[in-house]
Amino acid sequence: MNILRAIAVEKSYQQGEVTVPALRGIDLSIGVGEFVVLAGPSGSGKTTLLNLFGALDEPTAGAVEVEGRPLSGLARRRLAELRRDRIGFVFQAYNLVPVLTAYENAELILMLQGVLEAERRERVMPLLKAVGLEGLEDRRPNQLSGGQQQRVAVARALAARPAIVLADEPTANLDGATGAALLATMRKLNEESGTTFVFSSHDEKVIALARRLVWLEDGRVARDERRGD
Amino acid sequence: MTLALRLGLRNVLRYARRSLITAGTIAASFAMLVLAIGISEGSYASIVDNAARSGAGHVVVRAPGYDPLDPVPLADAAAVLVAAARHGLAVPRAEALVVASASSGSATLLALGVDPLIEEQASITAEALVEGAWLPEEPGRVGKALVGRSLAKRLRVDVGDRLVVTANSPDQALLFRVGGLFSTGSPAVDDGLVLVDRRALSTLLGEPDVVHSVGVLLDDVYDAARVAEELGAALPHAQVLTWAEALPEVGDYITLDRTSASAMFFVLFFLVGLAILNSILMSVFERKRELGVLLALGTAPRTLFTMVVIEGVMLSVVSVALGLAIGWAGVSYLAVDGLDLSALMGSDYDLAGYAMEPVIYPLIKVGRVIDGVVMVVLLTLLAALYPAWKAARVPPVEAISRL
Repeated sequence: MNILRAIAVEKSYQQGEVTVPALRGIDLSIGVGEFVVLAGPSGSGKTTLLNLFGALDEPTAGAVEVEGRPLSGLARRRLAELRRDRIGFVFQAYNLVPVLTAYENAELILMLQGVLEAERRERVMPLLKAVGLEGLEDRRPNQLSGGQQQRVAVARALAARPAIVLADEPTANLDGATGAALLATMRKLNEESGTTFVFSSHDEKVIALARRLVWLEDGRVARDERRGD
Repeated sequence: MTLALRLGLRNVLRYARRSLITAGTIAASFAMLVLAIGISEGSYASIVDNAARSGAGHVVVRAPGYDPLDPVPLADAAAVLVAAARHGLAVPRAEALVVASASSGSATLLALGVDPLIEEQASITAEALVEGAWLPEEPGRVGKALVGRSLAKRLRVDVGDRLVVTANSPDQALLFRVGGLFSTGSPAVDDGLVLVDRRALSTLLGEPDVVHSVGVLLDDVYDAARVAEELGAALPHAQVLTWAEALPEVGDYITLDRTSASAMFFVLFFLVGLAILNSILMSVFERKRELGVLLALGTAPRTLFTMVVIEGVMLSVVSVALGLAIGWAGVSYLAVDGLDLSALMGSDYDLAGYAMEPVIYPLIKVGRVIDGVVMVVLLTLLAALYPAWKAARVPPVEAISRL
């Protein structure tokens, strides 16, 4: 069953009077529980495609479906609910909320979902421990290193147990060991819970972990290869 | 604590310097508002009190169909005095339009016939006596008259000089001697009033022991409406008026002054509202990326809208509380010794034709302060709406630029 689907998706941006195409007719289906890496050179359209799968942007042409539901025509509030309840995001620049502590950032989506405090704690604390942030729960983002912030971001994305995790260059700002540890955590979760992971990355280590590698070039799918373990 | 409240509170604290500047602006403006209200209410109380003590009283009881040009005597004045005395100092007065003549001139005046002992406690003219003595307890064979110093100057009379007071016709004339001069600071009073014993005026008018009005002086001018209502019920055959009804020019003046002051305050707080709008808008623009992330993670636009409104409301509530405390303290401090405005007011302290004390004792009128609180909080809320709307409309993909 497809959990994400792009159907003849085109996306172009207006830069002054010039129209710049970012995606030129993408057809791509991703099944439940896949661990997919979108790779390709800069400007190939990886981030744009992730934005569309994440209901953060709309295609210029074509359609995007999440869990079989077309996104076009959904109200902003419905899109926000979809992101909150079904999708976890890991941003390259961490994007933690600066006024919240590590723990509060990690529980943010659970709060948005209206999960009670006791259950939030029950779900967030083991995750923070799993990503190596035990004892740092009360620190604000500016009191954490880049790697620690990214681990908070991963905990935030996973705490709500989303069906899909979209991660854009999640290891780009991390040292090798930290990046590898994060990837291992996510791979484990993928295997254990069947959560679908879609990464964009240049990182060879990330690409090496992929069970499916989708290579983009000039806004098109140049290669789509499935790998065994 | 909801997410919007938690984020709103922390964002206010996060931009501490900006929040302090904004809060300080609101607090200082509100403190000035409270002080200005205190001073204006103090001056109104002074005007009302002086106007009341110049003639009518805080509450006045008259015969129905009273006409100042031809006043009708009050029936059963003794009963009115008893009823009025339950609420405050009851001051009986008779009045007549008269011509006062001296050897070098004459003037048309209002003659007020008073009971000297009572009037001495009630009237501003007793405090404003600058020469001679107050009216004697008994009128004597030749009555004493008190006139304003400016009138005395115009008629070229001095204490001890003769003054012939004529009422309706030349045969209704009575000789008085000037017993004293007063100077209240109000041209209307100092140039247009002569005080004589009520018994003497009754003789002049040919009516025994005439009372045209009974004024009631209260401890609190704001009690006037209640007392008037109670007296009206107790005296169904009399006309009972508050000072605002008996002296409509004073009431109108105060209403006009309050309205123009409210308009000025509104303009002031409109400008303060722009400062708040600017402050909150800046903080929204600075947090555009953060707001975009919150939206990307699934925060409802409504939650972000609420968060920004909460930030504005928190700023305004804290600032208004601070401003209220400062303003109230200022009013309380100035109320002890009064605010001496004589240097600004010149020699005549006159508003709406009535004398006004040059030293104002500011006072807090809770209703007006509450109006001010509501106005400021509403304006702040309005000022927060646009930035809140902008925050809820941040396109997440543009705000975070990269996923």
